[in-house]
Amino acid sequence: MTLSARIRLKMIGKKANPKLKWLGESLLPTRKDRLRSDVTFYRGFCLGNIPVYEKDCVYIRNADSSDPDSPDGCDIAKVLRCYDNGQRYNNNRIEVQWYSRIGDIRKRQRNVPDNAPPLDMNLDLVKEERAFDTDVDAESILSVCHVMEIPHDQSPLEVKKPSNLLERFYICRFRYTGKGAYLMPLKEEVTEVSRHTSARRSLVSHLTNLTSPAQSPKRAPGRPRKIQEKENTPRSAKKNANKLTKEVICISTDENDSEEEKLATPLREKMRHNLLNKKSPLQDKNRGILQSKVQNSKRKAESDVDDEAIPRKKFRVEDHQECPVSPLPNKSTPNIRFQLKNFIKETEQTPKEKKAASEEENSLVISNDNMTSVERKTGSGRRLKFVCYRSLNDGKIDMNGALTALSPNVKSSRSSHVSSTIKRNTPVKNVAGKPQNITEDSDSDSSPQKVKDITATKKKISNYKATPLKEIGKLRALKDNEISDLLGSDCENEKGLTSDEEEDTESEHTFKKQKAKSQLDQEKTESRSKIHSQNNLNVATTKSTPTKLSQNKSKLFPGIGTRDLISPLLDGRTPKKVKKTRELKVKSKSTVKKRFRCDECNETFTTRTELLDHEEDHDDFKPLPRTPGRKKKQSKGTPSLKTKKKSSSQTTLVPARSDPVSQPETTLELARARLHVSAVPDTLPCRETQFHDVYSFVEGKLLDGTGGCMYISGVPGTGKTATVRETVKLLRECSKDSHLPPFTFLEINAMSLTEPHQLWVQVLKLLTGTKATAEHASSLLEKRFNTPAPRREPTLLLVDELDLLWTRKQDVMYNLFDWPSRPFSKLIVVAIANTMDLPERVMLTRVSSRLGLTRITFQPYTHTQLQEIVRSRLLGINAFDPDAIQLVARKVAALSGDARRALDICRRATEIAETTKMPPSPSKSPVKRAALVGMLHVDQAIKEMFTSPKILAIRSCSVMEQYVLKAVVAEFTRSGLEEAVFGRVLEQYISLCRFEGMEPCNASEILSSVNRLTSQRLVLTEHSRRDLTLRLRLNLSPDDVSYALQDV
Amino acid sequence: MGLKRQREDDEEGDGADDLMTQLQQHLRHNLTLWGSTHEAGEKLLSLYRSEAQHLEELMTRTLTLGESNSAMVLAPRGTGKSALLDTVLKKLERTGSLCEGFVVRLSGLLQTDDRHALREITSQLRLETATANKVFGSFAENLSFLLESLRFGSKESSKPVLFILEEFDLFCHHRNQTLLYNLFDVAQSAQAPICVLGLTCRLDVIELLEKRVKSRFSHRHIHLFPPDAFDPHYLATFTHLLTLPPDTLPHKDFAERWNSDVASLVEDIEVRRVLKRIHTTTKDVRTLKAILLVCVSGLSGENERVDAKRLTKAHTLLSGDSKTKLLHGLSFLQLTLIIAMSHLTHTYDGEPYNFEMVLHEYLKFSRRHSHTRPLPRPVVFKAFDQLKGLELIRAVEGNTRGTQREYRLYHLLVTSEQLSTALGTIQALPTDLQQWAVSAI
Repeated sequence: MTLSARIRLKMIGKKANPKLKWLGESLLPTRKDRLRSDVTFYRGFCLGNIPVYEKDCVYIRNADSSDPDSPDGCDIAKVLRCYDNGQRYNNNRIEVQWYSRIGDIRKRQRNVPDNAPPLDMNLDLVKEERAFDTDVDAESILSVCHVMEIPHDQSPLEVKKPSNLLERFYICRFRYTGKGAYLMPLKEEVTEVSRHTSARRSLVSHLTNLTSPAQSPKRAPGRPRKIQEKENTPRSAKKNANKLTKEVICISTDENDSEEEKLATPLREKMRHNLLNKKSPLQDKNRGILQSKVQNSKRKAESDVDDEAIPRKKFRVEDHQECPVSPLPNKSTPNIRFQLKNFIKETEQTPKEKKAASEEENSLVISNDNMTSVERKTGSGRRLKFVCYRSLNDGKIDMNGALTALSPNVKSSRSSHVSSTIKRNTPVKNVAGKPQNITEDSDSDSSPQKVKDITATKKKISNYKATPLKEIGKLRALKDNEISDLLGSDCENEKGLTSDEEEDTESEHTFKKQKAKSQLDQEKTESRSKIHSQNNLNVATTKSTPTKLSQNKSKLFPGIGTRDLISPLLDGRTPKKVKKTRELKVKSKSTVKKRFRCDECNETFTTRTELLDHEEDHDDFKPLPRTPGRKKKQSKGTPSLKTKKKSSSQTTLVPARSDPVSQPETTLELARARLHVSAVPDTLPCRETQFHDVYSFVEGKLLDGTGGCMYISGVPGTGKTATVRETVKLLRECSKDSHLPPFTFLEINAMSLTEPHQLWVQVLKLLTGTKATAEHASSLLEKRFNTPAPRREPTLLLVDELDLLWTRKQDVMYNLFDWPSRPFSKLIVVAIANTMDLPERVMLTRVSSRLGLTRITFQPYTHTQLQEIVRSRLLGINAFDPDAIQLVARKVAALSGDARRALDICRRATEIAETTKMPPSPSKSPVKRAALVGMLHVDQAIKEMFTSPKILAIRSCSVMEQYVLKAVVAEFTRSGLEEAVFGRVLEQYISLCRFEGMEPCNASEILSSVNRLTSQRLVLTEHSRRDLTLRLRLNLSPDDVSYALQDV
Repeated sequence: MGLKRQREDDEEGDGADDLMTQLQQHLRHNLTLWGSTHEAGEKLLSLYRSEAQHLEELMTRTLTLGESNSAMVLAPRGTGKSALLDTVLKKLERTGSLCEGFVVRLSGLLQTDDRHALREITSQLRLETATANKVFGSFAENLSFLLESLRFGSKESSKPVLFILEEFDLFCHHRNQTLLYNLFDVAQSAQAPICVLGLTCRLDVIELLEKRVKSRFSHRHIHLFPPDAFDPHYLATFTHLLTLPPDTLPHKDFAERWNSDVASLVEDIEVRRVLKRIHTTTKDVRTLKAILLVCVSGLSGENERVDAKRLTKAHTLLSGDSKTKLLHGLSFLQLTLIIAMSHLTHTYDGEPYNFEMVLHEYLKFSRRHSHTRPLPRPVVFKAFDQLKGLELIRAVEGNTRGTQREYRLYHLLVTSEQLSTALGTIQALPTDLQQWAVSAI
């Protein structure tokens, strides 16, 4: 048993050790999940002795890290759902929402908005919104930790770790989408998507926000309690558990407030009163929902407890979103105003925020996985719905809805109705373009001046912030009758909302509607002007008419009924569905077509890739002036590890040239540039079948998510590496268009390794960016490829010049071909070497058997193929006589079939044609006569490359050297051997000289002559220490020597 | 001899001496074995016009178009490969195109393995500064670092690098030919533009390359064949090496006189004979340079002309047979032994022999000539041992372990011609010894 096999066994054994036990009974599948009959959902499970429940944050082993068994080597994620997928192996799954450490994101993207305290490398996490697999093997959980989501402007240092918390503690303030120079706050910042989208989404976000307070931020601190509770009450009954959780939530809210925010109670109280007094439909709805939830725990909606609970929750949201307000205790409204003013100043100082906002817009399209993951945060069916919206939020809407739904603005608008002080301040706030806008907006008597102000200042954020709210309102209005439909399943689950509550909501609805209308109109104008300025394709007019509401409605969902549109949203819990919906949306709205906007030059793009390309241009040439530090060239959309590698190599560039390269001008120069081996053509002619083979192999493996090996052989210059590279290029494009899963491509040339074991070092370096010794790297990789890692991308490894990896034990090759067969490795190895029988000839059987039988042989090019290759490169350039190309092709095909050779000859021929005047082609054909490079040029080039210069070299030797050669030949003929001793040659030489009538040179001179001949390798000798006993051989045939010297 | 001349020089008048010292300085500069002066470079360019043009175009294209190239310059030793390349580089420098790129010079004799070569490349590319904060670790790291830095270059953006590999054939012996493979690979792919020029005298250098390295090499050969003709070329070289540039010396008339002397020297039949002799032996300019250097160094205030006699003397001094000279310093006993061995070689037709056989011959000879008493055996053995130390005899290779020293087999490394020449010039050689040697031969 090999060592590696033993290690594997050991590891598997270790992994299997913590037995997983489901806790509680299985949950009833939700409507969506009913389709998956084999899947059983649970509330939690016990891994070893660690109990893990939904919403818990856990460490998940990252096999790709250096030490997966310590928290530092693990990824952090929140468990959204746990289920048994009913399969035989790896059946215990969890769905997670990933978090990333700051160290895992690109350096240049670690910037935070100006008003946010700097990131704490140890404490801060970012919410991961890149497309990672969210379905994880539950057994890869290492332990439990704790993540607290807090507003982005709160300093991580101020956050106190809950005293009763035993686990590691993190905070999360930002989201990370893999794009943009700034991290985005968890929820804030309306972006500039067209109003319609935001409008539609704002409902969703609104709804979402209702639940959100009850979710992440509160849930997190509640964990210790939960544990207690768990200890106290066995989770036998689902309902019971539900109820308990509810309680915990409520209580934990209070705890939270006191712990982290330290919000002054008076303010809160006031807000609450506002809310209660005003009873906006929004809030009512919120409340209704919350209450309905609470109903489960048999609480009365009107009860004090409830009242208190709701506003608090809401306020928590506000805390998250309007950070500047929260940290300071405000005792009265003037104080608030003061606060707001401060905030305005802050925002004015930070155009970065704007950028961030617009970047968010760029990152609109977010993986479906993410959405799914968010969606799966839900435990009970009722909540699922909201979370579904919320997931949408996270994907597209949340970005827009920075000010989303229940956000403080809503409240402040309420308060503005009550307190005129805020109203008075509105203009200032408008300019600032922050929540204050909403206060203004909420007032139906918005002065035109204000509007003007806003448009003039072009505070996008303000506009967009404003829009969602308004649209929320509107949407609400639209929706009200539909809400019951929307929540249909909820109601079923929860035995419906109480009817009086419903009525309540509706009565308030009308009021809200009116308000919303006025708001809407105003906002419309603003947003439209905005949109116009941004070249958005919105068709909206700039006029603000009070009658626009209906129009707006229709515009919001052109072609599609509100119901149609929303119901899929609600139902779409799986990524697919959500995606579908989104596509639908996109299709339905021509206005939102150009959704991708570059934050640097306001250009818009229809596809994300375009934008990425565009952004790369920016990266290259126009580093953002405001970005601290140098912007580095980065590959788009690559995971952080890869980025690390690239950035580190940045510094080591060969210095850049100052003058630009001159471009080829003449036809011959152009032809030469095209004929250079490095000029890879768009397509590789004559290698289509091989290309297809490689492509389908890799594609299949990628789609299957498995590993595999392929061996490619062929003599040098037959396009092996080029074909594989082309394949990878195509695969990359496919994965960019998300036809294929994203993958990491590593290319290692064994020739650029100093010794075979360096392969491991290189692979590790390319994969993780870490350096290690060969042995260490090997064990790390062994571990990596042996352990499951949900966030791992498939790896395509191209190993060129495989034969050089040969070692006596063949451990390098063995591992290389063994890894792909490991279940979790997702490693695809494409090995290239020259000899076809390398596996049989060189490798041990156990190695070659692992290599498998997927083999492709690249035959040397035939002359027609070579002709085709040269011709395809010269397409459109009329420099070559076709016969000349054929001559080259035939000559090369006869010798080696090496495409490089053919290209080099052609290139040389262009040079010859340029420098030397050849007589024009004797051919009568005008085409041939016109050709710049004719047969004669090519012929000379071929001669230069292929003819041995030895005859010429002999002719240019000195007389004595020629005599020595003659003497050697004479000695050969005398002895009949192909080897002569110097003493004898000397004798022959002397007699030769006497015969020719020349005075012979002395032995020392002759010996140095022999050495000169040896240095040219006309003669092969031993070390000249042997003197007279030196043995000589000719490096060419004696006939050649005689031929060369016949006239001497 | 040198000391004596020095003393004579000191006694001479300062004026003539100074002049001569200056002259020697100038000419020595011309006659250095390595490299060449500007004038010599120009001459080389005129000799190898098309090759120089080829090189120049190649490098210019790399420098201006960013086109990667590789080429091999092949020529016998002493033809002027490096000199030609230097001249072309100087020309490029003058035209300003070279300032755009780096020149990295490596020599197979200095960079004996890839590790050294990589370090040298890194330092010559001035990439050390980039790695100042990094500890330059292993060979592997070095290699990957360098390759990475070349890989991240592009045709348009990075500075072109000219790699000049002298004694290219020695690089072929590096392990796996890693360096060559990578250099040629960079030159064949769209990475930083580089131009790899190999200089070598081995005509079969391509066969030394591994097949994949060979495939990546562009197979561009530039051959420099020394011109054959004696009359215009070799004599011109001779004149050129000795001619003073017009305005190098303060005394114009002296310089003119010197130059006209040199011109007349070429016409001298004796000089021509010597030069012809050198030319027939070798076309390596360095041999001529060495001879002329001896001539020029021998000049002084009173002998201020290079003449045929001086040239002949220098020629014989440098082209003398080493063995013959070595034989001059031997004792009579050792000479006797050499003659005895020569007899043995003749008798056994080149078969080796051992000490006992040589001793037997020696004793035979001594007994025949009664006036010389044979020396005791240890003395003879000691003399034999010394001959071995002088490498006039050489032990036969093979399994010599176990055999006693007396019975070890030897070859004589002196030909009968060398022996007779040497015996002819040794004074006070005993007549019977002379006779014995002649009789045998």
